[in-house]
Amino acid sequence: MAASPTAANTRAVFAVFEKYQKERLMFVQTVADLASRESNIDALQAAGVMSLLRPLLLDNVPAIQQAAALALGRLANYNEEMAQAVVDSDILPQLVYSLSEQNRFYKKAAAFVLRAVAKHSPELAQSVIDSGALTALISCLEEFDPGVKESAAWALGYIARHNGDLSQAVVDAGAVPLLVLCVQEPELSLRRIAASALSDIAKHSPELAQAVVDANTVPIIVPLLANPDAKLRRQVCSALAQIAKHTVDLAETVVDGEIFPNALNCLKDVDGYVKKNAATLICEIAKHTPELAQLIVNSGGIAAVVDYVNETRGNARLPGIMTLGYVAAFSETLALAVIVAKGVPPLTQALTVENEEHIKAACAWSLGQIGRHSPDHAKTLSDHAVLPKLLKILTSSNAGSSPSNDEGSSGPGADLKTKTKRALKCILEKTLSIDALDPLLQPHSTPPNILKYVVGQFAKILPHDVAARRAFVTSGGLQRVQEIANIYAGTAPGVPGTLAQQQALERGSVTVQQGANALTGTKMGEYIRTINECYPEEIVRYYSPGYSTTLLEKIDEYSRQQDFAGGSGHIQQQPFSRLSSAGEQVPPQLQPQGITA
Amino acid sequence: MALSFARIWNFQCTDIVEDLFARSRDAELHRHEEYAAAVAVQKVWRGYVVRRRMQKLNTNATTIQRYWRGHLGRNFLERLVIERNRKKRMMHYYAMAVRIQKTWRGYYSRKYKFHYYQRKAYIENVKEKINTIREQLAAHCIAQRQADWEHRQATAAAILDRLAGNRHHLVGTQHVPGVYADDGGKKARLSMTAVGHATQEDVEGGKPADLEEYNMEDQVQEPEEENRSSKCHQRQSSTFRSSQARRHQLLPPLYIPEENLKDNDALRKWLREHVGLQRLKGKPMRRPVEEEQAESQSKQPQGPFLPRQKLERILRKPLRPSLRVETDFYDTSNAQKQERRRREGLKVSDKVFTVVQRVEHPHPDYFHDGDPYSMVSYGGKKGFRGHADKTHHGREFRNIVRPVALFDELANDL
Repeated sequence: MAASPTAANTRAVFAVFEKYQKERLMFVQTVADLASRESNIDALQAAGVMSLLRPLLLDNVPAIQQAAALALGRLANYNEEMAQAVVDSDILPQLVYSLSEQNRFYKKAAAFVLRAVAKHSPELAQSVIDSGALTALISCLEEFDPGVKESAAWALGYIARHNGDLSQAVVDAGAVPLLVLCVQEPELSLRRIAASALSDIAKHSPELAQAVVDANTVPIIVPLLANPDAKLRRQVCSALAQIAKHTVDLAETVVDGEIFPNALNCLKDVDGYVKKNAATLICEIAKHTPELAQLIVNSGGIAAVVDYVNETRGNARLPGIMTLGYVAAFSETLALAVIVAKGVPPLTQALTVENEEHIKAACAWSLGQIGRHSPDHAKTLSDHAVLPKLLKILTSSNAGSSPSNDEGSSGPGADLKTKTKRALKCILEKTLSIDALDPLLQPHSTPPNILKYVVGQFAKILPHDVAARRAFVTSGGLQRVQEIANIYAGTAPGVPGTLAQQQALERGSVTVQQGANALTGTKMGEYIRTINECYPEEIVRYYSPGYSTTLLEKIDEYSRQQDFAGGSGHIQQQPFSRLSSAGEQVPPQLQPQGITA
Repeated sequence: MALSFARIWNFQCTDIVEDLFARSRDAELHRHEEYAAAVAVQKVWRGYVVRRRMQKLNTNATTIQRYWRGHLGRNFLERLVIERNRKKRMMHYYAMAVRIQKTWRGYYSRKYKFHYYQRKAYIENVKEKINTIREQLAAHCIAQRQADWEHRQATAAAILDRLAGNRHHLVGTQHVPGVYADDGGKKARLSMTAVGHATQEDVEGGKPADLEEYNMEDQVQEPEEENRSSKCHQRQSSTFRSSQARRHQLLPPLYIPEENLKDNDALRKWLREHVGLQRLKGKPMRRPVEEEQAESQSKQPQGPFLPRQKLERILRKPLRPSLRVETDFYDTSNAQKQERRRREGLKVSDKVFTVVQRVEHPHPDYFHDGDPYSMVSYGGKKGFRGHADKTHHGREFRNIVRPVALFDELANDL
């Protein structure tokens, strides 16, 4: 009889507690749901959600704890400010403590919070480390549950990706062997995350990459290049690239893992990111030594890279373009291999089609590396009409960025300009075909720093090639050279053998007699002189600008002389007479010039 | 003789003088002739002699000259020949030197500077390799595209299948709350699953930026993955609804054929898990509680001594999620895994306990037959060997207890 009221009381009390628990749970779940939408974040923050969530983290109902952690993670994920707020409210130590205590759902949620905090900045990641999260996360990596491992690996990766010190801290905590074990797990998402974390660790310095390699990573992850899962392939390619990029030894370690057929297959992947990461991997390997570059060529990788450059557009092209440049830079034979693999047309196409300047600059650099070895290489490039395209870029970027360049040399096109100029120079110095050089010999459109090399090439070819001399005259090249001499010598031309110089001597300007003008002593002047020496003086004069006016003056002088002779009745002989300019006294007789009209 | 002498003697005086005078006269008369004749004779003779001498001297001089000149000529010739031979030899030497130099320089420059034909061959090889690798890559590309396409097809088919499974009234009714279920309990339960879903989604959703970009093409698969991971959860959660809504936005409205609705994998699975195969065959349904009670009533052996089949049945008992007990597992296999781990934690020893019919001992004669107090033949092959080999004996003496036949008999009975 007495038992029933007690039972009723108990039930009433329990009902209150149960109701309270339900309400807490509902609150925290609602907050978590609200936090998943970005638009609610500000309102939540304004409502002081952080201080309310913190005690709920310590609730005695696991579901509430989890939901609170989840809400916190979402808040911290949103932006750096919120993450900082999480750090400031001293939640991290609690989380870290409970990481080693609670069930796996809670661990997952806690690792999510840590990840969300660490992802924003190095300082926040450092504060996560300071709260002792590393050991807890690493003990989570030893957990059975793949989900817990995954989120722990993810958090570790986010911590490590900021800088070398944080990464070193992760390595020192002993994460690498466990991550390598995680890569061998059957769950795909865990493998992806672990590979990505390894990549983040290895990317900072050679020592860290070595630490990753020392855990026997390479032989384990290289077979995954053939894994059917595309996202895993992405991460594996990226990790290998990050390992290989530091030193020759590391690159050789990666290559020794027999990446080759698979890495090339990845270049043809259906997934764009796999392709890009594989191209980066090949690029990082190729850049180290000629041997490694040759290995890539020998394994047929160069064809794959060329196809890659052909197929991709935009920024993804860059690693392929750089690979071609690196390979071609090492030796003549390798450059030839690039040409044989039909590497030039895609580069040329990228040079004209791509919009971004750094890609253009990379293309120009690669083309320069291909062309700088021998006349044959340069000939191939000129057959693909590379030179006019480079020149076009150079002149257009000149026009576009010269005003800004005047203020500071770091204008938008500065890098592209120097790269293009160097490439043009390299190629031009090896070009020996008149047909290729002739279009560039334009006194007005070609800038002087390029014209110098063009004229220099003619000065190299013409003294030795008789047929070329003739072709040079008939194509109008000689005339253009004289125009160039005239333009760049300015008012005081100093290139010997030109009419302009003689006229200047006539005028007796002081500068000429001292030999100081725009072209004396410069290479351009030298080259023009060399070219002029290949032809008879008459030809040079004939093609000099202003020759017709000189001839007309001659006619005038001759008629005046006739008048003078008729008037005075005797002809005054002078040993040497010069062409006269307007102000001077008319010499009595014209000395016969070299060419007679 | 005397006569002749006398005559001669007689005539002697006269004849001789006469003769003398005659002869003197003759001599006087022919003196000039004689003289001239003598001169002539002498002249001829002397001329002849002198000429002959001169001839001889000339011949001698010529001989001398001939020999000398021959000597000189031969010397000259010899020198000439020597010189010419020397020249020829030197020419040969030069030619040989040139040949050696040519070969060496060719070799050296080919080896260390530039080898045209080698490079040509290398480039040819590279060309060939490039062609093969292009073919391989093309084949790989086609294969991968094919695999990708098939994967998509399979995924789409699976989605369709699952949708069909959801549409069946049997599966659908599992979500309908019972008549007596109270409202608050249902709400709490649903929101719990919402948490589970949300956690899952959050882990999936918070990918690094570079992973996100290619998600457009994966969006068809994403909700499906989500569903798979939460297959034993209640499916009426808000997250699921929203994901379904998303899917309906992405996909055209589905037409699910009638036969798919009636018979599909999801339905079969649900039946297997929730109804059971035996029950389909018409076996009377028994509540598991009753079964347990029945088992507890008959005094069966406990623990590892249970028959193997029973043990396995207990271990693989399907999970019955209840509303009262809060569990943290999704499905049967995970629960079993957890249970296995718990059991392994409880184990004292790692060794597998097996009940065998007969215990094999390494040395069957180690245990003395019959009387335990009879003498042992020490020093034999398998007996004591003194105290030298203590470790060996230590190992053997650990099992001093005789095998008890009782266990074997028990095992037989079981």
